[in-house]
Amino acid sequence: MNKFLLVIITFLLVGPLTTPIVIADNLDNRIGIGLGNPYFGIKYGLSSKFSIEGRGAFGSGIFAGGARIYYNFNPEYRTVIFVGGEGDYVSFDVDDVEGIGFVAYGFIGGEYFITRRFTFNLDIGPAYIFVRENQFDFNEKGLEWVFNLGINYYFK
Amino acid sequence: MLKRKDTIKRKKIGLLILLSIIVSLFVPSLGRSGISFGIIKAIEKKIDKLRERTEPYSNLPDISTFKTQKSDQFIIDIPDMCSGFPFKGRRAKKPHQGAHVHFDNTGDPWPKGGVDKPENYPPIYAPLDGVILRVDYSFHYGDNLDSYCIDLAFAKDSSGSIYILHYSIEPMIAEPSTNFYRQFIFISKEQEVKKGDIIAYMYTPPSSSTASGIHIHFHIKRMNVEGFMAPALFTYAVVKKFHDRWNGFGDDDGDPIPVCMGYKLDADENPFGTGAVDELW
Repeated sequence: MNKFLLVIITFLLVGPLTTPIVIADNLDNRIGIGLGNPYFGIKYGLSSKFSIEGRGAFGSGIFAGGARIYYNFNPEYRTVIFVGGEGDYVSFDVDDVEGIGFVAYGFIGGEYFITRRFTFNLDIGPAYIFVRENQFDFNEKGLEWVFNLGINYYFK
Repeated sequence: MLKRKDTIKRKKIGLLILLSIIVSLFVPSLGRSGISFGIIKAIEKKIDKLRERTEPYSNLPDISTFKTQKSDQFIIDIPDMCSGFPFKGRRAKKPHQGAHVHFDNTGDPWPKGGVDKPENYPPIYAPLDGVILRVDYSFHYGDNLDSYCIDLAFAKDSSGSIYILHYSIEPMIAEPSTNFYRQFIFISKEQEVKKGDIIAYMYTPPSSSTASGIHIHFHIKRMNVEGFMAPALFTYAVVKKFHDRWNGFGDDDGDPIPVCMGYKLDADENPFGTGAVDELW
């Protein structure tokens, strides 16, 4: 699985860099919605270099909601490379294990403009996760590596 | 010239990404956990670990089991105690919401053989199968006194509330040195124990007489719920032996207390939900 991901990531991120097709123009002041694995987000370009996004991710009995900030290295290219950070509040109720927590996620990734409005994006990075269950006050914490895939649609 | 710089910039970015991916995939510590596809999967991994930790508690028997199936294992070897008394409920003349076993170290019967190691002090047992919910290696109270405490989760009820046998182990002194009591505790938090397992040893300070009040206070309580209950978990034969060692402590302001683990209990002091009772064993 990891090698499969390596091939995809290499193809999507490194490949397009060698073809400098200007399509993304400027991300400044653009609003987009995103769907992913599984999440829903609303993204806004604060400037050509910085974007923010509100995100909610859902699983069976798990919700993680928070915000992201992106720094875009090359906003004018077909593949925009970014780094960023995400903070999430977590709540869960899974098989009698109920509690809350938080996630702090740092990532690097890319957004590939299929058209000017429609994009494919992915990111990867370490997420520090803390979860605490309510009944016994047990907690678990530590680093997990996370890979995200999604699509965005920009309204303008 | 500009185009060349641009190409170099792009190559640098590409290299950075490749490096990040390679690090992510091949650093040994990351290989163990793998990469989670989406933040939810990563959170699920942590919740799975929480579930593993809570699993033993979900397998505990219902508290009603112990209404009829009593334990023949007491919390200590009864001959080790010099006196004691049962849980005295709110309706007693002098309530005390915990049973006691007291020790007398006059003449230094402990440590046995004069060899000062924990195993030579009176053993403290788990009277039932269960899971250690909490360990206090040192608990400061009163006028410069320190105890050590253990909570053994042994049952639950239909609402999922966990029932705990609480041991407050009280040598009636300030802890002689930092972490001194730690050596007398032979279990750790979340450890599963079996009936009869030695969970700790009772530290009896040198030459401490009955008057010094060395004792273990024990009662049942529910996790995250206020209030204490009578530890009525033992067979009649065990309770009778316990009663026979009360040695003058078994009275309620002059009224003799019969063979029982709980005396003059209010309804909420009865762990079996059978209402207020005068005697419960």
